[in-house]
Amino acid sequence: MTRTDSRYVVDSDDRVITVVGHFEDTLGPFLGHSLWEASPQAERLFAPHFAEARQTGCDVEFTSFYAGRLARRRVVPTGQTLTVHVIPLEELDVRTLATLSESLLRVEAELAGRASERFGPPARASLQALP
Amino acid sequence: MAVTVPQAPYIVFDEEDCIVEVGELAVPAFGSFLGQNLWDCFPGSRPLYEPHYAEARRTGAPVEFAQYYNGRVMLVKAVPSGTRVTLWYEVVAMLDVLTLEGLRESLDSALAKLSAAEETIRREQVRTSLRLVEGRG
Repeated sequence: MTRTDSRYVVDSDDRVITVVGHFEDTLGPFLGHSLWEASPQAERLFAPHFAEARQTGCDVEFTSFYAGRLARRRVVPTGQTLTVHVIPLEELDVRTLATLSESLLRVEAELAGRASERFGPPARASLQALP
Repeated sequence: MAVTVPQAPYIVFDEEDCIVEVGELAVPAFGSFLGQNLWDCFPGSRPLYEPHYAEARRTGAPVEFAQYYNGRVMLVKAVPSGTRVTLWYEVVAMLDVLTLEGLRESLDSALAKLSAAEETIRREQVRTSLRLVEGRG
């Protein structure tokens, strides 16, 4: 099992219908239930991307922090059903204030890096030209 | 000290820092660790806690402190009895790691509570010292 094997599938009502990889443990008990029931506070983070994938019919990728982990998510639509592939990037280490601080810095750096990726060189140049 | 001993959860560990007793209220957090070494059960915690336990054993007197570990801020009172130490604790703050916003808010709150607890303990230590100096200890 590789880290990239983790994925889940939700139906048109965001009910979990398939789980693979580490989601067997976390989402497995919620098969047939709403993803938002299984993942409190995730709806406002993920739902806009799910809606975009359903609306456009195209894959949507985004990076977000949720439940102590920063992960890259790729949402692949098949009609109104979505397969969400999850690639973990950073995990928060909450053991001590030192490890928490270090891992939080890594998360923030990764997020900042991913945010800057969204802009190509011309867009970055335009932004830099702004006062 | 904010730890209200009679109602607080507690554990007891021996001279080798093995957990030999778990109070009823501490079972959810420590029950599965009975008979195991503290430092094996809680990686990275030794430098944070051991100096306080060493002080309690050395002086024979209770030691109170506030500590952050594994997403929680706890008020701790280590009471030595022979080679064993009884650890009373109270969780005063917990991190919320669901979202970054929740994490930031809960971290601010946890750090504020940690500082406040440390200040309370320091004040209590000064009061105790004064009582001893004045012969009222």
